[in-house]
Amino acid sequence: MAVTEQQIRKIAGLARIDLEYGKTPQEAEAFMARLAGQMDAIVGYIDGISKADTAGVEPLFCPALHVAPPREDEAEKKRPTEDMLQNAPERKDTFFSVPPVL
Amino acid sequence: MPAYEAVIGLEVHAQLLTSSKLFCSCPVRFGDEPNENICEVCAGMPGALPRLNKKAVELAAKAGLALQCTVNPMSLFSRKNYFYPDLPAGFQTSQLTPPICEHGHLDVTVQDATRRIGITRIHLEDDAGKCVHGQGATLIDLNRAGTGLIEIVSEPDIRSAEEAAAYMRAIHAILVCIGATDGNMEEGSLRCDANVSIRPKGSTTLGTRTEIKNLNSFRNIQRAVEFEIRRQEGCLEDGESIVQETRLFDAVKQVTVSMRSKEDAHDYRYFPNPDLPPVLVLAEELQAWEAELPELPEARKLRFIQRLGLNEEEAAALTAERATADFFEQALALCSNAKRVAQLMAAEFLRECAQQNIAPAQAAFGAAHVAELATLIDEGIISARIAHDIFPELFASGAMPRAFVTEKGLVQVSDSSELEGVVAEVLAENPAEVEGYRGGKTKLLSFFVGQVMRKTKGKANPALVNSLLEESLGKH
Repeated sequence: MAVTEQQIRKIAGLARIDLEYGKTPQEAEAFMARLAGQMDAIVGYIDGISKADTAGVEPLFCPALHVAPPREDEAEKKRPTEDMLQNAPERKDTFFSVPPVL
Repeated sequence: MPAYEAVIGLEVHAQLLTSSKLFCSCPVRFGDEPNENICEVCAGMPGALPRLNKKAVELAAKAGLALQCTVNPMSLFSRKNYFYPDLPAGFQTSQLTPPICEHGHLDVTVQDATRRIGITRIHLEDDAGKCVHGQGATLIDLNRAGTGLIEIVSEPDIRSAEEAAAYMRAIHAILVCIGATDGNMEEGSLRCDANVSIRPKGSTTLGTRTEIKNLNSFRNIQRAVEFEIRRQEGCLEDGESIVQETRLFDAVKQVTVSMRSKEDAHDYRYFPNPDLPPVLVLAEELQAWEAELPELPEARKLRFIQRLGLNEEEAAALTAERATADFFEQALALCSNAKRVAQLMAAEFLRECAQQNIAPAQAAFGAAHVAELATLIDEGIISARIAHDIFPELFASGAMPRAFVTEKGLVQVSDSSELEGVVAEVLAENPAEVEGYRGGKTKLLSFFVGQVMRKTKGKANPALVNSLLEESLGKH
């Protein structure tokens, strides 16, 4: 399968990554083509899995086969609000503040 | 104009009644200061490891059992990826396949017709935080982020707005009854999205659907779906096509408005969450949970009708909430006249609770009070009318009815010699009416009863007054 530049643009858009930032249109185009080639190589490599014979093999839903003990439903306040807000680029009172979305 | 049929499916989100969040021990509490109950897990910090809340699994499985689902012995958490400021990790931890419960159903009755609505699946997921949209900035409160939810997805089996509201009421009653959620719709504990499409009657293909988001009251569900069906019919009548999109209900204007077109939205790139191992439900656990399930609202309602002789309305009023039905049965243990207790509760007690905005279990007037009041009427000590008149005062004070009635001198007069005098007085004071009655205007009897009641301040035994009056008026 061939990964197209259009798919690269779509995935970047969904991940909110601006691949054209700081580039001229020509540079951006070359960059997309390079990324498409690299991605194609990765997907092609992984695609080899589909050739494995899985007849009679139970589906594996999760690589971690251990069972994690679930947690009891006990509430505990672990972190002071001030600690949690320390990394906030902007805050207002005890809210996180971000650029307006509406 | 061809006749259309609506095809509706609901996605109900219920906040689970747990003390801590789904993947961390932060408290679940409504109304705290912004960001008071958050940690690195629910705030989506890199490297933080989620740990699943046992109680949330139990409540989701119980909801599945109550809705006739298969509870899967193994289910998985996936990441549903999208960006919005109230979702700090950039993904919601949800279940795609397999979910914890699937293949259930719920019977819903509208206007005496019962229809079975399929339940596709129930899955566990975490809630997002809250945005406050202000001037020049959006403020984020993550207290709700990470709270455990179940999403209950119905088949597109619902055919009218009324049925959609009835389905939601039934889900609400069941989830509250089994203790899965507090059901507080004003605080957003229970909310739903409605998928609505229409098609010509008799057609079996599905029309293009729209999704109405975040409906948070039974009334809004019904009105939003009603409007949306009419809007889609209008589009088709005008030769327009329906656009697949997300819409919002404006409760003030009673319309749905377009929020966003779906074309580029729904690409959530689900993948299994590598931080969470599979959710396992053991057969023994499931059996124990099933044994713990209380009698469900519909079964209880039927029992009240069939075994206790209540009518449909009384039974429905008493079983709408589990606490009310429990209250009723506590009163029944003290007074066996079920009909009388039911009438007092439906007509007086629940009305006062609603007016004073008090939950039945919180009222100063308890089950023992209701039972004693019912007994006083049964024993002929007071009339139902007196009970009605004194109810607000009893309800507010929490006084025991028997003592209250004695103290206030409200004991019914059932002594005929005492009442005969009053009857004679009334007849003497109203000669014109007496003549009218004897001339054939027998409807005047209630006038005389009213006069006797006034003179006795409502304390006269009504049956006795009736017979005494008839006897006296019959004499010439």
